Amino acid sequence: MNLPKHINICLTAAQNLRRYKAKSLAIIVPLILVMATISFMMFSRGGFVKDAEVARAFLPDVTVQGIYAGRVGKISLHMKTEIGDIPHVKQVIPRVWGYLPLRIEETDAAFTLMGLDLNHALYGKKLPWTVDTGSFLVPGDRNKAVLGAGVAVSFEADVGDRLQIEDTLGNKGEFEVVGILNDIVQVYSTDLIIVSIEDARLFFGYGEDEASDLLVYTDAPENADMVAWEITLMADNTRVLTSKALTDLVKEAFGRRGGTFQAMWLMLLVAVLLLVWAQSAHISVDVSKEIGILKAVGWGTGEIIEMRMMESLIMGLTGASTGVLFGFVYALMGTPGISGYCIGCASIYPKFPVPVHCDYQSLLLLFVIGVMPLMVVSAVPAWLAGIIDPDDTIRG
Amino acid sequence: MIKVENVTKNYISGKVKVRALDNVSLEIEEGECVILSGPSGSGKSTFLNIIGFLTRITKGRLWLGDEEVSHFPDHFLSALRREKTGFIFQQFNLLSGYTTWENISLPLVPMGVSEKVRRARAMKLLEELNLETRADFMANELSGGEQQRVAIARALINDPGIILADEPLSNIDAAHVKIVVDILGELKKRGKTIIASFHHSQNEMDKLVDSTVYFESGKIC
Repeated sequence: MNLPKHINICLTAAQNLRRYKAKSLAIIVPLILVMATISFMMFSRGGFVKDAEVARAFLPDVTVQGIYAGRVGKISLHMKTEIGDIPHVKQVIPRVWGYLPLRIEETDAAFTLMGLDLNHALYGKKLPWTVDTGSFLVPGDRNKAVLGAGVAVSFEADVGDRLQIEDTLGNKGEFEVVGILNDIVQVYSTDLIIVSIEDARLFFGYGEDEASDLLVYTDAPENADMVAWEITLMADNTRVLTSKALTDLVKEAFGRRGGTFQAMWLMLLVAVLLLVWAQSAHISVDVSKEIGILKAVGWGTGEIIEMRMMESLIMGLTGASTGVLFGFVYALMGTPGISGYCIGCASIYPKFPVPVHCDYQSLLLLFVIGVMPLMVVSAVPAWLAGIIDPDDTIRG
Repeated sequence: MIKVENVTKNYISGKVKVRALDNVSLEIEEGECVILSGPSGSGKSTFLNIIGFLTRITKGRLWLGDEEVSHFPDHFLSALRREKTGFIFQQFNLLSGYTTWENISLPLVPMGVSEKVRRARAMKLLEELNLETRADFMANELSGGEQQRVAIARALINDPGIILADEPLSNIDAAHVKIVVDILGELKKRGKTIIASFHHSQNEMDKLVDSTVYFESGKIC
């Protein structure tokens, strides 16, 4: 291996980027934009999917909701006993919850007020929430609330404060803040206000024998589908959701939304590749002539391809690194400007931070996407021009 | 020794086949200075391109020394161009994005010669050609005559045994013609083979020339 030769070719490639600044920038700048788009989508989407996976660990095996005229409504607690008699069902816990449509700082917002049966609060140690500040609710607590971290920020509330809530539907309540949740799962911590089930019934106007849904825990997760099927057969006017179905729904939703962006960045990437192709040779007479001259003065086709690939490698690494960095920072900043489109729930979570997840596989994939196609697209035209006799290439 | 034996070269121009060389044979000994003469389109440049390994022959055989190189693969021909020949193009063929010295030292890049040595060798040639002040100019900032001399310097940078020149004096003024002819004379003294094409007769070259070959309609007359 002639190392000095390869060093020379590498240095010449690097200098070429400086020599042909306009051409290099015409490739690097679009590449940065494409890579930033791809990477912030990948990091954000990864964050949502990871959020969904973490959330799944805390979900009940089966959730049963009442359906009236095709819409979700209250469910009668007499179902609790019937479901509890199904084999493999360990626990059935009622829950009352609803959205709180509010106006905060001239912005439409909605939070979730969730009433838990505090006598079953441990839920088989499946509670997703650990409290960062203060403490969680205990059986017998009334007019007390635990806030998600994001909710606390929205209301500027702290432990010990009294929170007066009046939603736009006229529901009213006043709660003492006793704890603030951590933010392991963004969708919980940003949205959720937890109170006792009694307080929630009062707030939303539920009767003593009514709930929003029933949380069903089984003796083993593999029995969840069977139990769900039994519940479906037992009562027509219910919607029965397994934790897997709920998680898959989230993943699929963000997969589809990701798909829209994937189509967008794919188009951008193709545009960049076409640009590189045009700049590389074959189509560009000047570049083709340059290859002919290099061959005429003694460069081999392999050396020319090596130089072109090295140019693409440097441009690809520069564009991909900068783009990925921009994308990561943009994702961390909460994708300002398009977060509403990304998460589809901006009006529900006014300060929802788009979750960001970055791993080695994502980074590797991003660099492969950013660098490899450029190298191939630059090598092929250089090879096509290189295998022609120099005299023919120079004369065009 | 360069030996061309019954060489024919056809070009395809659009849908038309053009016979640029028609069954040409010629032997040039090492150290000879040969002038190729003839009207425009007579095949001089094509002949130079063939013996400079810039284009392949359609028919016939080409020898370099004892080796037949007619059907050498591409990478061998690149090596021959790099090590054996120096080509001075009529249209200069300098790379516009490169400086003068970078253009001159281009053949040395794939030879693994360091930048420092490349620059030193290029500067030496630039001094001989009265161009040392233009070393860091971009190629497109030079006049036609200067570009011609840079093209000459590039052909000489790797100290080739064979110098091929297509109209090497066509773009330079009288004062610089003498410099170029003196350089060619010096190269001849050092045993280099020089093959140059001229559209018009060049009296300045007379004292160097060993033989003159006349081309017409792709044939040697």
